[in-house]
Amino acid sequence: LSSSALFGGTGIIIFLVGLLGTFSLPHLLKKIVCINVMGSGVFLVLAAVGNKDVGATNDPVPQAMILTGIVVAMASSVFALALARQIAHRSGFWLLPEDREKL
Amino acid sequence: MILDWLVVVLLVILSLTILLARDLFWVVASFITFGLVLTLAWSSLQAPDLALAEAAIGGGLMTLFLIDSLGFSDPEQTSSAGGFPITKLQGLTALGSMIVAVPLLRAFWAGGAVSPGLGPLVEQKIELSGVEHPVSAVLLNFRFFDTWFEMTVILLAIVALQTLRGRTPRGDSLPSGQSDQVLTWFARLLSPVLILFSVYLLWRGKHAPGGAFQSGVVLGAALSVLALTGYQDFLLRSPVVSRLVVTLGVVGFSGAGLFPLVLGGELAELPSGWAGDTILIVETMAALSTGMSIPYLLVALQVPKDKVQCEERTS
Repeated sequence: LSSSALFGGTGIIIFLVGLLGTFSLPHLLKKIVCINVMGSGVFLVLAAVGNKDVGATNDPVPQAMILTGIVVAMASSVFALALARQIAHRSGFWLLPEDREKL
Repeated sequence: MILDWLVVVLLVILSLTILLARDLFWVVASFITFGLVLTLAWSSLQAPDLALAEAAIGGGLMTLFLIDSLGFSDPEQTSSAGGFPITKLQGLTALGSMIVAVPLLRAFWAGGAVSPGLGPLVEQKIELSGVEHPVSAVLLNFRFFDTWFEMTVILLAIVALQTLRGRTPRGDSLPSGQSDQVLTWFARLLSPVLILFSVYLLWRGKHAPGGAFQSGVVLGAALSVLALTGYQDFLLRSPVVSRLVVTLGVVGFSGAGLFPLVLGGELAELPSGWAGDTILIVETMAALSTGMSIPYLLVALQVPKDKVQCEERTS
């Protein structure tokens, strides 16, 4: 098992765990963290595809795209956090309105 | 290889902890550790640029924003909302994604046809780009658009946060650790080193891993530490100047992207003779504006404390 296959497979598993968390956890902060975990899974797969175990050079294009992705994910997470904090501030709960009805 | 396996097992365990933990602090702490372990994964995949960015953003900045939100949350209702109630739809989604995952995993482990990728092409054309490090060449010349709009996304996030907040940053907007002697002393000791390191990363990006974003994020960390320990003057004294610095990145990239049109070239086609100098200027502007954006985001994330105004706004 080469290291790019190892990390790519892990990326897929991590993506799934994040996906499950995003859908099943009602707490907004946990949802945001899980979306970030999902994103990290995608980045791992992309990096593993660009990584050459045999060849002399790594492919720099996926790396540059992941670098852009990390920064964009950070910016959008901060925006999501701000929205969640507004919800928590106004309603008193870190929950979406439809999840609060079930409480 | 043993280290790889250790990293992989840790990553899976940490992601499961994030999924299953009831306590919010555990979730945030696991996510921070997840970011740091991911740094090891990037270095194992021979992507030092990503390791630097992940350590600074996944391990550093996200920690700052998440812990700040953790302090904001109400401890009483966090535990009650931590359950694991899976409805039918959610269960079906999970099942569906697992079904998709099986062929994906099989495809990965089967190997299959290996394409050479774009590596050789980048290597062949790197002399035209004006920098020597392939990742920097892709980021700042070959895929100029990506980085241009990345700067725009950061600016957009700041504008969105300010709009949500509805007020410009004023004093007492950040929780201040000024009274803590040890913290203040440590911040004064640490921040010059961080600022120096960010300049070094910026300069290094031309020929080795590093560059505008890593440098900007380290600078942003230094400024955030300063802002959190009571030195908020650089943000508050002249809001116009700090806002101008925040927009520098987009201004620089737009200038470098649009100027070739004046010379009769294509959009974002950096002139080959001047590419190196243009990139250095644009990178410096991007690093400065990223560095300023981070404490700005942190301030804009704070919800106004006085209840009266909030009630007015909700009613």
